[in-house]
Amino acid sequence: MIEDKALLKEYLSEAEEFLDSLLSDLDLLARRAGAKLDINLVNRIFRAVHSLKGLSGMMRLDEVQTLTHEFEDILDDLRMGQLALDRQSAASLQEAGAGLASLLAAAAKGSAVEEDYEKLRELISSIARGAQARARRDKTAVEEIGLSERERELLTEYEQQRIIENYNAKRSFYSISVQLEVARLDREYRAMAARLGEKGELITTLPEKSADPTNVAFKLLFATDIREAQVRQLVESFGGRASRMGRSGWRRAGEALSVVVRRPRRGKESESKSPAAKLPLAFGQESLQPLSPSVRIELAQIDDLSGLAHELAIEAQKLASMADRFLKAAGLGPKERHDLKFSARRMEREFVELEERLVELRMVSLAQTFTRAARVAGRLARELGKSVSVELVGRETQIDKMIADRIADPLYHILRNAIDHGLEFPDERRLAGKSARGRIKIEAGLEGTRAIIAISDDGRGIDAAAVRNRAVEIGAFPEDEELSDEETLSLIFSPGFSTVDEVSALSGRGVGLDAVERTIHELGGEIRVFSEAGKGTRFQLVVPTTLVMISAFIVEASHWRYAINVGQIIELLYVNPADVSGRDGKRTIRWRDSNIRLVELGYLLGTGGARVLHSHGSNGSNGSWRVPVLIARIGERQVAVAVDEFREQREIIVKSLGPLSRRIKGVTGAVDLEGGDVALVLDLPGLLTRRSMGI
Amino acid sequence: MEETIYELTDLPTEGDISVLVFGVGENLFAINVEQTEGVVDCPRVTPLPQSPEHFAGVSSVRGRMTIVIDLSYKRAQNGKKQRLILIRGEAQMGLVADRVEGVVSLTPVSEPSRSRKAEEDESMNESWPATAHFRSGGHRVPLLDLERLAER
Repeated sequence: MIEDKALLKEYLSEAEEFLDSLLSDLDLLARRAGAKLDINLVNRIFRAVHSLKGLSGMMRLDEVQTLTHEFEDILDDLRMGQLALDRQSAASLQEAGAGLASLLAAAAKGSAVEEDYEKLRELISSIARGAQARARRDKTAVEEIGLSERERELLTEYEQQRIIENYNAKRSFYSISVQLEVARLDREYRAMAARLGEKGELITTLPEKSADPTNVAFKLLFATDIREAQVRQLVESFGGRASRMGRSGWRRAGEALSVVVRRPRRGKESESKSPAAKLPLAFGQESLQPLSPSVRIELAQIDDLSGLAHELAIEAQKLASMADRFLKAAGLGPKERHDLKFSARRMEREFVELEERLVELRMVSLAQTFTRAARVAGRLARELGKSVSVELVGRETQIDKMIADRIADPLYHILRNAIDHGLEFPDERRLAGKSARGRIKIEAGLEGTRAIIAISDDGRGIDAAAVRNRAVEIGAFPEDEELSDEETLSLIFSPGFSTVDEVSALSGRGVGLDAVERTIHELGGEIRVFSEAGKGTRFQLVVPTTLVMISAFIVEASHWRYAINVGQIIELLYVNPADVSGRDGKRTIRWRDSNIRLVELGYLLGTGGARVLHSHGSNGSNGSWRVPVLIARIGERQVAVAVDEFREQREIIVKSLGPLSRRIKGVTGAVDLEGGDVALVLDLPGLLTRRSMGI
Repeated sequence: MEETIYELTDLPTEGDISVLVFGVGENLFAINVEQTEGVVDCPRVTPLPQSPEHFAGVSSVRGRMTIVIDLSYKRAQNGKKQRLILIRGEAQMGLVADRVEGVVSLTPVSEPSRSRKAEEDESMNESWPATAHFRSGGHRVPLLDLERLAER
């Protein structure tokens, strides 16, 4: 049973995804049971069951894990051709899938009883036994009849079943060869089939090669109780030839096989052995209730909605501002003024709240990441002959899913280092007066819009002097510089840094702590390390809790870089200053047969205006110089925005400016740049409408 | 708003508060230590357009964007060595300091003496919202009201 409610919710949500896939594919498998086995479909089913096994193991649902393992075995035999699939076994697999779905939810909630496990276990075993028996039976019967390998491959499951039925009914099998004229094919074939049907069962019609191109040749498989002479006579009337099939001993073999292939529906005893009949009620009547009340949505869809909500929030702000102006101009009474103002403000607030709620949809708890980390830690310690206990704190901490995914590798890397290099072997620990079992603590908590994730161990700590010497050796740090302990320890994030002479296979090479630091920095976070010799080490990761990723174009204006959502840009071009008309504040350019307003970004932002158009040195001189201009989309109109320089387009993570951002206009957030710099993410429509541009 | 009057004390007792005193230009300010998260070297500040005058800009500090507030109303003064006092909590705010004087203990007193009130000057630091004032080295030091400061 999973006691942590957040973890249970996440587990059920993830399990449901795999179960949906499993049940849907088992349904498809059942529908295709008579046709050639689709190995890709079986592989997909295998992967779903395998994922459920992994998930169950991670959640310590051992019984479920064992059952999924047995389920895997059946699927493995199936895809390896060791088991035959017919309609009955496919249906039983469907039942088992449904049973697994019921059991998995019950086990996670702690409501499953031993009987449920036993019933599913028996069902899975029955499928395995039944499939094996049927595989033997089909193979033997078809071989006894004497069909060629090619002919056997052409038989459908249904036809094979008919062979078995007739075989058990002790009927004789005949191979009938016939050639019919193409012109009369349809009529003659139907007439012959009808006559044969009156005297027995026409099981299948297989194509044969014909020497005469005007004829079509067939081989018919016919089972009947009538005498051989009667069959020959019947067939010869259509120009065909009949020959009896099977070896002399086949009836005896058939009798033996009939025990194995006895149909379960024929008697009470057999019914009790039917795998499906043994299903508990819950399995037989699979509930349509979903396991989890959650729905899974692609992050990109949430991002689209967030973008839309943001646009609406901006429009609502504009409306609220217009309402203010309108109230002043319209001379409305106090009640009308109050109502309009109230509605406008309320709409503005609610759109902002909508944006915030959409951001919350991206949030996931760290439970899964932490649980995996604990499992990895235990396994790594065992591999190294060390003993470790892992304490998890703050698993319910919620952060953006993308951040949770991105920090997984850094977290595991630090964990590996802690176990490999940090924790001592039991003997060494005892000598140092510590318990033989090492301790690792993984904790998380929120601090405003940041999550603090710490990984601590009670191992040998980091030797600051060794770190300093190594940093000097690799040229990461000048020998004569003074550093605090924390600054010294932070040198371990230098590229190529390692104080361990023989780097173990466990910690690996190539992905050092510099990569860990880089990942955290890319997320706009920071990493710190604290250590005390003999007492242990603590790594602290500070990452933002939410992220919004956009594709942005970076420009430079008045020596500052800015990011602009590419969705707001129609075109980038270089304009000859001679083609700019008008004066300061009223400039225009010709673009796509229209005159559009030209503004300078520095002027808009108040960091400097009329610089770009008067400058002559940025990308040429003496008439060759061109002004970088982007055409921005402002509602249905376009505005040309002159900048100092175009830099690049890139995907950026927009970080919030926090609650004070409502006091800043025209900026939606900021992005970390190289060297600790920050670029503001501009809201061009917001900036341009506020600047009395007559737009 | 009625404000509490504090005096410096060398022997802190229950009810006393610890404040961080810092200087901006000629003026001294104080902030309750419990409201601070730390003091760092002020990183490069990116100016913010169309924002209140005391918003010097934004910097990335310890993984989050921090609005840098300069009580001297000077916009981003990159190149000048300054300190940034980080404010605890969700505000994502930091106060620029030309110098950090240190932490002192204050004890509340019943009412200000008339002579002290008469000494009040009209310096720049009087214009910032404060929850209390105290005297230190001949200066009247406001204990900043951060909530009102953010809304200013």
